[in-house]
Amino acid sequence: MRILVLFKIVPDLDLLQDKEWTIKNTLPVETAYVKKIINVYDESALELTLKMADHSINNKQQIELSAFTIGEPHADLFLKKLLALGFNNTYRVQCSADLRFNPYAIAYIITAFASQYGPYDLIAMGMQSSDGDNAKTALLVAEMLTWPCITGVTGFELRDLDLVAVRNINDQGLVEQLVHEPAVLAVGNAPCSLLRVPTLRDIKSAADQEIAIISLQSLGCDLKKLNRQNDTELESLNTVNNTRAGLVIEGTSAEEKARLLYEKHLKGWLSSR
Amino acid sequence: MSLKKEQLIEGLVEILGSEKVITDPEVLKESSVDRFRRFEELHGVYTQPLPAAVVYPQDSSQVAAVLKFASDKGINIVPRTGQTATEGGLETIVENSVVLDGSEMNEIIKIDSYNMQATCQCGTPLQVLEDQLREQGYTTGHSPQSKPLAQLGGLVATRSIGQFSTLYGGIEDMVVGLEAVFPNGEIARIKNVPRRAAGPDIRHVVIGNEGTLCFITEVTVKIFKFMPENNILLGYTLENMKTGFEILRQIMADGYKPSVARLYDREDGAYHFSHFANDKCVLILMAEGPKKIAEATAEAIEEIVGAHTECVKVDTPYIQTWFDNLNWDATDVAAERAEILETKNIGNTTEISADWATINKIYEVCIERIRNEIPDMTLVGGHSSHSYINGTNLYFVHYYNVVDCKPEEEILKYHHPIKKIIVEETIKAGGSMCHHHGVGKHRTPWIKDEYGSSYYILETLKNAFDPEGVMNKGTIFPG
Repeated sequence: MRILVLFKIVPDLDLLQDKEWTIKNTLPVETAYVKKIINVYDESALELTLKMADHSINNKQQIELSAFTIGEPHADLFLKKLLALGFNNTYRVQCSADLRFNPYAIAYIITAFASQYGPYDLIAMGMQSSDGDNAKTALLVAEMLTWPCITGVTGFELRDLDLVAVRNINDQGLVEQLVHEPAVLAVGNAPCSLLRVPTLRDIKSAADQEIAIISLQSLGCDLKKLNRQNDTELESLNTVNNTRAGLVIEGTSAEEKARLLYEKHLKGWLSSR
Repeated sequence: MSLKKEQLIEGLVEILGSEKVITDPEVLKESSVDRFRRFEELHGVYTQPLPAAVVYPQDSSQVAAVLKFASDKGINIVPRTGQTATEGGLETIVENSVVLDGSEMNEIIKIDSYNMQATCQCGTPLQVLEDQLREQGYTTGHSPQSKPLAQLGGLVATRSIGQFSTLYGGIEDMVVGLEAVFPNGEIARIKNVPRRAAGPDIRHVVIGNEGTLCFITEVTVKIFKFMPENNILLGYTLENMKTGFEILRQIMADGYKPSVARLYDREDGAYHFSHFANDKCVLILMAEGPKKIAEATAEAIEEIVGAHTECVKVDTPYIQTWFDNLNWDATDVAAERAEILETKNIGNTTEISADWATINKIYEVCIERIRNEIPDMTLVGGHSSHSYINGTNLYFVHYYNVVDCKPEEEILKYHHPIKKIIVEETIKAGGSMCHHHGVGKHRTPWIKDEYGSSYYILETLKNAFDPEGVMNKGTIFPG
């Protein structure tokens, strides 16, 4: 089975202080100076895939893992890490354009890659990224490939040679379904969200493995054309005020604080219900 | 101990009242360890004897009464405030110890901006003091990574140091006076004076005692004018640590005092600065203080660094964003716990110091040995973060995956062997095995090697001030 995992390198927005969330004329918030991380949902997709591969090793099933991203050379650090963790192939499409708000172009490039370097049996990725927040890429890729897509995925494992058990959250709750390949899986709030860490020995063993750098041209992608086809345009940004009121209850003991909480804040509210 | 546990509790309740004597089993479990054993703790494994109680005195007289009671009855006392210890200093290695927690003695007694000093009770969080001072245009100049959590008593008891130490000094340079309670119940106040030559400086009996000689109840520290508008932050990438040490040496030897002077190796640099380091070492310096001094310091630094062609200047915002997120608060601690549980990957640190001629040799031999001798390592690196006229510190950072062992075996399989390499190589080279985390309980096997013939002085202090041996058994002094 050949699995392709797509991931995006994003700025760690938790590191930005309030004062840095300044919306200027250029629209996007300045994040060039912030440390980069793997988008959290993509990180879950990568770890879930590695877990699936662990399981397949135990069951002696053949799985080939490929990791793919679009971006600049700073992503290579992360691709090297994935090689050390056991990914067989890593690919980066060289692209310096800002595609945060152009999921159509992203999906088009992915589809072109999958068609040229495939066939793949499964494509996994996070359901959305922290900077673009479009949540469209997985659906667009599935549509372009005419594959089924499952969103809100929280886990998946190989059940048979071409049968994958996929758990996802939808309006009905947690669902497990058996899916025949091929399929696109958009990983959501998975319980495992952190990628394992390669040892120094793993890193050394993978040191000679190359990252394949691919040009847009070689995939037949014309960025100007893709930008013209984008149906989304960023028009404005607004700051959302998420602050909430808080109250510190002063007391000399837990009992006293609980009593004050009940008498001053809960009693009236409860009696009015 | 001559008392049964029930009698011990009764005695404590008599002194403090029942509300201030906590015997909840969960609290006792958590109070039997510090960050050194957090892997065990995260897995719900507690290997240390549980304390009999955690007690919260409200003033010095109550501290004195508890210590006198403990001394008379042979009860082991483990003093604490902010609970950020990393070297096992808060572990209760004796059955039915009493954890003496000063965190409810948290009043800022006086901010004296004319005499440039502030007096606080031991449980005052450093962050609270610093915030109040900054509102008035002052600062303590003390900024350890634990600032959001640490409290004044513990900071002094462990000889803490902060990120701006190269200008402001360590906590020992800041403390002008204090109050401490000894195990015989004696309350001793050391008055606040600029300097005196009236015998040995007895502040240093108390500073860094790690709760083995006395309990610190009150501290007076220097304060400084806070002028962040003058700060000049400088960052560079460079090829190797040896060059970086030499630059730091030149800056210090030439008499300049940047507040921040940090040198990261490639591995530690990649961890912190993946957004710009590109497999290089990273040098970070900050000039601060009055405008003219800050500017002159920055100019001199640029001149010194500029003479080393391998150094490439980094845009300040790359460093600033990182620097703004350097300290650890409760959210970071919680996130770290979740990460360790999920990935089984844990990181620890060991900090040492040595003179300029020796530091790079220690760095190289320790990194090489850890890489070759310890299994499952995922990161071995380090940085220098506090420099002096005659040398600097090294903060080794070591991460590993915990593989094929029970939670309670993690320390023996990984942490102790790593620490052993660093401590032994450092002492062999003539450096100090502890720069600012204290000895705790896990570096005591080497305490006599650390002190050599001067151990006589240290041991005599213990015998004089804690003859019954009830103060934090196993910390600094082998149990």
